[in-house]
Amino acid sequence: MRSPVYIAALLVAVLLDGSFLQVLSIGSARPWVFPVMLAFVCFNASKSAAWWGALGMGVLYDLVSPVAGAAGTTIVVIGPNTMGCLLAAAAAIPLRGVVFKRNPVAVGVLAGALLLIHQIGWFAGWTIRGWLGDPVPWTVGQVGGAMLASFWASCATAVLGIPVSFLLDRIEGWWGFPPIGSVARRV
Amino acid sequence: MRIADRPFAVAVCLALVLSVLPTRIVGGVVADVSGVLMAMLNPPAHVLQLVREWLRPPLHAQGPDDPVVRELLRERDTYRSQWHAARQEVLELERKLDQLGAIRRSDPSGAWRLVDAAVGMAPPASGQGIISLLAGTALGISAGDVAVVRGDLIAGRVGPSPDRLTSTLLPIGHPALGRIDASIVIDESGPGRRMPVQLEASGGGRLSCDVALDGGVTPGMVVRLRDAGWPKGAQGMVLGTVVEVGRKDQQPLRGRALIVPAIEARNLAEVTIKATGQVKP
Repeated sequence: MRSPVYIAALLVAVLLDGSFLQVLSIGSARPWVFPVMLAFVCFNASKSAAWWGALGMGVLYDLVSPVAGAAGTTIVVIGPNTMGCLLAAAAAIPLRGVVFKRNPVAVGVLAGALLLIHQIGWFAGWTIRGWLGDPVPWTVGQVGGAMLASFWASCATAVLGIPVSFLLDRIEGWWGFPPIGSVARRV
Repeated sequence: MRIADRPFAVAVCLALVLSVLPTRIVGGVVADVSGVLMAMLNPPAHVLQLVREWLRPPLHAQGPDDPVVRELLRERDTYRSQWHAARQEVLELERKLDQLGAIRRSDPSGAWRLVDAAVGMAPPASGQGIISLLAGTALGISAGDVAVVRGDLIAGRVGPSPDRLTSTLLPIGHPALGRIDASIVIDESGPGRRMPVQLEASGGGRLSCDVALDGGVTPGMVVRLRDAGWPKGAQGMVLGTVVEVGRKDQQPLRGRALIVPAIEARNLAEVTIKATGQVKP
């Protein structure tokens, strides 16, 4: 996988997720583009590149997600999104041989599922931070609501994932993925 | 599952260690790296915010097409806000008269100036993150200043330690704003009868407060700020609207009102800050 292409795509994804995709939200169903990209990379890149890509994606999303600390200060925590992305990658990479990766519907639905898995890691990461005394980005007593919102977001992501994975499939040549069946793809 | 290479395993371990280290140890460095990254991403993010606002404007920003009517409505809202602020001040003065037998006028200086601040990244953090503003202390913005929209709607409050060119906005409904004293205006168009309440974040960017079940609070009523801890220039402005009134689960004899902020700050491309600091060129 060509790193510059991945980094550029990642920056576009973080901009879209952070500043634009709320335009497509319906109630709590707010789509995200990063699970689609994660699924695309995990299904096409070599294993090593997919793992590194997931790690980089998680760290970047953590860095652009400051939250307000206890005394109103701004804190940035590396971990929740990183754990979430690694968890999602751990779920996606073994499915490489199972999923028909050129089917946008399959990739879209899997992107929705990956967002749910990512959210498990994200909640786990913040729960650990909560034990350490940091404020968690949800209100105590409203965790169920936050998880339900995650479910609706994954549904919206699955829908968005269909056209996005179709577009990514069209530009697959730019990414420099190793050919299917090659030794490089299995490493 | 076998993780492919040793450098990756080291990187993952490093990330996991960072994820559990206390904020006071690594928070500064990570926040600096985040700041550099956000500085690069904020300009294109603002362009996307503009496009998003153009495609799907916030509900409260929609108004009549006629610019004259729109201006009249804006003026009406502004004067209504001032009227509520003045009324609250009168009530406060009357209370002081009763208690102290003397008049103590509060500071009438209005020592603030309006600063338009472009919205940068509204980071993905489960709807509870903070919002980057492309304006800072160079324009007189200081911590705790209030961000308003359409002259009457409070979008949030500037977070602590604003930088020279950037700052952060804690949107209304964010838990970090703490409890907010406010009034539910029972008859907005009438004499302005009000019920004092204390708002707290209830998740999902919403607010809630205890109300008397027979107090006459119904969905659709406007909630206005009356908190001495907030800047004087923001008193009487609209915080949100009551959308639901029900019984409290633990105390069935008491009511609980759910309030939606007047404006969804994440959907804005620009806010106006009532800056109280000194301009630092």
